[in-house]
Amino acid sequence: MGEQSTAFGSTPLVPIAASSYANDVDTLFWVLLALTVFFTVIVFTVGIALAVYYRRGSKVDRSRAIGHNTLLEVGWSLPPLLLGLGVFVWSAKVYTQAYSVPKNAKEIFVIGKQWMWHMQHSNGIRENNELHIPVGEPVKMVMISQDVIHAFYVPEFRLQRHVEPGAYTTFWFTPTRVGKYHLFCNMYCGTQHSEMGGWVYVQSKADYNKWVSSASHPVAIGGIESPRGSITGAQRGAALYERFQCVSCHSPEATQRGRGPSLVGLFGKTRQLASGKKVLADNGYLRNVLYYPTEYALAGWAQGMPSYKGVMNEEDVLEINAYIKTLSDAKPATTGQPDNAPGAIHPPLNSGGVDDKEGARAANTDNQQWRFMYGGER
Amino acid sequence: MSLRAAIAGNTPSSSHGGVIEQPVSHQFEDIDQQNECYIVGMWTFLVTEIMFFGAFFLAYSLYRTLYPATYLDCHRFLSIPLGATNTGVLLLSSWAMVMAVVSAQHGRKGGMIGWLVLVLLCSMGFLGIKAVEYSSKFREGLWVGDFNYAKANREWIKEEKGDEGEPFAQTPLAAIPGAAPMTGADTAKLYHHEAKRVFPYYPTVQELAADYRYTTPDTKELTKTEAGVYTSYTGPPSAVETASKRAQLFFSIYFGMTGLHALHIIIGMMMMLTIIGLRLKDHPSVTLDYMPTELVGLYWHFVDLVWIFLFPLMYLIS
Amino acid sequence: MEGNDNLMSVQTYDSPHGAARSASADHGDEQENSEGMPRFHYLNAAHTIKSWLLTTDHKRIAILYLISISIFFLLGGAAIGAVRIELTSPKGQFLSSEAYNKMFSAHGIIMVFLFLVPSIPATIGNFVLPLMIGARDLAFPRLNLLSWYLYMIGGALVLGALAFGGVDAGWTFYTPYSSVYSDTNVAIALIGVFIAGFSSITTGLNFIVTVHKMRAPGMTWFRIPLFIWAMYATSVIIILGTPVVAITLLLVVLERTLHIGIFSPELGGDPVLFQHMFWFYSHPAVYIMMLPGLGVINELIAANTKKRIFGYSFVAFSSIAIAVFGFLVWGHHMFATSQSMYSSMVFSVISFLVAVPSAIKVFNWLATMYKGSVEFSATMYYALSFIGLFTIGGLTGLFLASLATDIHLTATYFVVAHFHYIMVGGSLTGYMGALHFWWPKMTGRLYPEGPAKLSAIVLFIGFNLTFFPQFIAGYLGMPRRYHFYAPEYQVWQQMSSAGSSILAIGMIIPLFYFIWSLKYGKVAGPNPWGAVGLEWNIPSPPPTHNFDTIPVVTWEAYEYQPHEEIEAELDRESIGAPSSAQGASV
Repeated sequence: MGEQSTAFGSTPLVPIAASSYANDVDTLFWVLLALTVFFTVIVFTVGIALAVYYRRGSKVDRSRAIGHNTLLEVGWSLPPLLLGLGVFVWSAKVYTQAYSVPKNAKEIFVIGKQWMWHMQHSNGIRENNELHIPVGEPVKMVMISQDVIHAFYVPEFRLQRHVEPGAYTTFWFTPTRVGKYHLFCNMYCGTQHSEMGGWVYVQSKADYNKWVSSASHPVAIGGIESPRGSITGAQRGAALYERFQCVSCHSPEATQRGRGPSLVGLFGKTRQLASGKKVLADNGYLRNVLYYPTEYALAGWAQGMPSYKGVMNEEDVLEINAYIKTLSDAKPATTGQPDNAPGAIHPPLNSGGVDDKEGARAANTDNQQWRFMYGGER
Repeated sequence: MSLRAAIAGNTPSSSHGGVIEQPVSHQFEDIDQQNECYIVGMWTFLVTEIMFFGAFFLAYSLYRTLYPATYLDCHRFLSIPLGATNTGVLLLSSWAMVMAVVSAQHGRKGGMIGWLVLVLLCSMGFLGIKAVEYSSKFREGLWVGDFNYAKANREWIKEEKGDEGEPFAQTPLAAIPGAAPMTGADTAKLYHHEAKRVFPYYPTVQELAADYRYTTPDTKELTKTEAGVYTSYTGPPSAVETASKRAQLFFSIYFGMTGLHALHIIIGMMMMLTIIGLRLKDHPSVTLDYMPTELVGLYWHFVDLVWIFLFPLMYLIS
Repeated sequence: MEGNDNLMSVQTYDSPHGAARSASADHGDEQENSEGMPRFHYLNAAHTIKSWLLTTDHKRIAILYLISISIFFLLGGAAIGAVRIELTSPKGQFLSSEAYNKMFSAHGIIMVFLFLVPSIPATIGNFVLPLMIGARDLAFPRLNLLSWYLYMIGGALVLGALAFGGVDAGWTFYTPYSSVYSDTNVAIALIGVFIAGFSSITTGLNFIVTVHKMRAPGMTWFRIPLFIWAMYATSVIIILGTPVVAITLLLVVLERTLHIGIFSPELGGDPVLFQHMFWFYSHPAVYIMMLPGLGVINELIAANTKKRIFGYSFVAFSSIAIAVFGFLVWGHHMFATSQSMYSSMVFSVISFLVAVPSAIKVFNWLATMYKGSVEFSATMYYALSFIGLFTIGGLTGLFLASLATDIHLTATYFVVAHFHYIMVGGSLTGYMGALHFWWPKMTGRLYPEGPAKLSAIVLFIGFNLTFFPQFIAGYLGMPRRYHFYAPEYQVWQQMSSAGSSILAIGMIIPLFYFIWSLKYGKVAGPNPWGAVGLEWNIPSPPPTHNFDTIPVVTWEAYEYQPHEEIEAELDRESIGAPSSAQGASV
């Protein structure tokens, strides 16, 4: 469960530091604050002192006033410049950490949509507006938007990144403190922008495992029900693979050549495209092939694969790709026995509840999503 | 030194060589300051125009880098002969404009009006050719808001080949997806066969023959087109869909840039009509002062220059 | 009033250029009426509406702008008043989310495009620029009038869009929300902004040509007042940047109406392209909004310390440096997007560099006061207020230039506080200071000093109370543009709202005493401040033709000390040395 993140951090001015990155950012912040205060105090005191000392009518020596001094100009420009550049270098170093994803980072897929967040863990668990992660383990967020630009922001992690339509964006972090932290959408995205959010629960490993294995109770918070259970994303992907008849062109055997290339062992390999370019078969590639097959046609193969844009949504893509990733020579894909029929698995990705359409009426805050995000309800 | 002085060879008060006397506005000290201000002002305005078109060129460059195949594919819809004619027409108009300015400087009414009329005729010719190009785009289905890439390709093949029956008849049924399984070798052969006649990026003939409209995944029936070819049932022909979307981007930029350019031509024409009108009425602002004509001339040369950049970037890609 | 007599020092210098001493001021009693105001000036030259609406006099056009800009300012202020009331509670007070979003968008659109961009250039610049360089008018007076009409038409369209249905895309209009998903009057508002942009361009063009070609004889580049340097740099930014945003916004309109899809990922378009194109203008735009204010402070400090601005050439070049560097940093608004890590680093380091010229200005102003003679007038209050608030605003910009902290702070209230310190604490304070400084010149009347000083203090206090808490809320993680917010931020929001009521009072008080002064203010005379500058050598209000005879300038800018002293110093430093007589025709 964790504490409310309304508790302050080391001082009331700073939120709790909950990621490996946060402490570095806070240190940088304090240094910048010190510099700011220092120079502000200098400017204020020197300014006021000079103005008062040399006020009209004061009997002080005004002789030989100088109007120009190059040495002085350089003297008061260069040190601040060097300090600034020093801060830049330090900051850039911290910043690059945010881009060096460790190999063992677990991927979490996020779909942002007006006006909710949908998370999908690699183990198949799906959540809406909530994210449970174990403390101390690096996590890589792979995010995409279904419509407009959003941003995934957790102040306690000191991290945010835009979630854009059309391409995945990623960032990673290691949560370092157990607790319950605000998740905000931080790029204005329309009417319910301020209600698009929820909570990130960083749990101890034991608590997290308990949560994972507690199957079947639905996520009622936020007013959006979504079944969670023992079916992995890959298994759901296998069902979709079946439904869309991918096997009619893509043989399950590595060696046999169907109408399309085999997908066995595909993920992570370098692929040569018909256009001559070489690309890495990563998440983005898998998605692009499904949506823009002609663009990403493989060398040596005819173009004949239909595009599934508009037919498969982002969630379907994630699941099919999860299935494809499990395809290898050693292990055949497991098609589990889902509780529900394949077609009914997809939860309604509807929005959070405020359906206020008129302009001037006061906002309807008596709804589940508002209470969930701001009312401290469980 | 002012142009007048350079031409006349002496002080402004002289009327040597037929150079006209210009009136000086109240905010200026002398005619030289006035003329210099006008020139600096017009050049500053042209800088803003460069930034204006520049933003468009930026979008063009970005999408060309991202989708080079689309650009190569799409430019075959643009008529190089028509574009080249337009280039020639505009160059001619620029020369006529220079002559008009010279006539204005020497106070030759007939010459000035005559040359300006020639510029106008050239611009009308330019716009006429543009209208022909735009209307053919409209017919072909490449118009903004009414975009139908498959239709445009059909028309293009019809024009190129004259007859669309022959290539389809040659395509073996076995080569049509959904009809029978194909070996990889057959597929490759079919692909290269088509690729010989059409561009490498190009969708296959079957997909061309199909309409852009979507058939849903649940529609199991085969759709028979006019040409008697069976199309795939698993959804929209992917190549057409993708090519179509990308092509729409290209044509948005094409119409945007050429449209903006044409708008500038029209504005230039209105300015010239104004000057002709004023000159016919012997209005002092153009009888005594060649600057208005010179400024319109500068503007016109810039508009011409934009086209000189546009033409190769749009029409001559290969 | 010709104020050097209080200077208690060995050198009592009565600048010949500071006193009301020029041919035009010396015509004797028949040129003045019974009150002491000049008999014939630009305001009473004609009385018909047509003479105002079809004027080509830069001074009248400045007044037209003054009135219309003030109206837009009040409307933009009213919008944010609603927002601040709403934010006193985390649950909101009386607005729906849709209405709230429209309110903050209205505030941003009006304040950025219809107030801040034109404020100083179109009112003060239009009025004072020709006077300062000894010209009779701008280079293209009719173009100047057209500029005002374009502003009014654009402004009317924007207001119409805001009033009849509203716009909820924010002043930044990010795609695809603005181009596809928003169902408000985005297209009309953008067309209005497009047209207003051309108003800005024509003003900038006019200024560039005027400064290049119409300076009085002897007025070299290094003799022009620093306000003119700042206006020149501003105009360069305007003509280079505004056309880009014009096309960008036009493309959004086309995408909305004709669905051309240039920013739409559905078609393979790139929504981030919009951000690049938008910020390519909008970052230099903040310098358009800032530089004129920086320029004004030069004039206020010089006149109130009776001293030449320290480091004149450094300050002049710093304006140009800001203009140049300002075009190279737009990506610092996009650190959290999919922009590459390496691009972000380049933008970050240049953003640190761009802070340096601003710092140079601040230090030079402080050095000017050293051995000066500081008058604590209302205009000096505004100038000192500016220096303090601008310093804080600029330094907090470093938090955002620094990559690691920006990832935390971008799009939070920290950014809101930062840019308001610059725009309100800087730009608006500079505008108020400029209005006060040149009010006597524009109207011939003095405003009352007491209320003026009071409003400067109230403004300073109210402003800090409003925006300082927002820094704190921002670092604590409160996102901007949020209607509802987490309860832990409420204390800061309430402080901010309370402060905003004081800020509003500080803005409203001048309205009253300025209008009062038109009838009851003391007659100012040509040079109530004892300042040095060509505009102070002509009557207040000036005649339509500005100068009876164009002066021939043989003195330096801000010549509050004897000419020989300044010459000697410049010769020593050999920068901007007047003895290398550059002709006025550069």
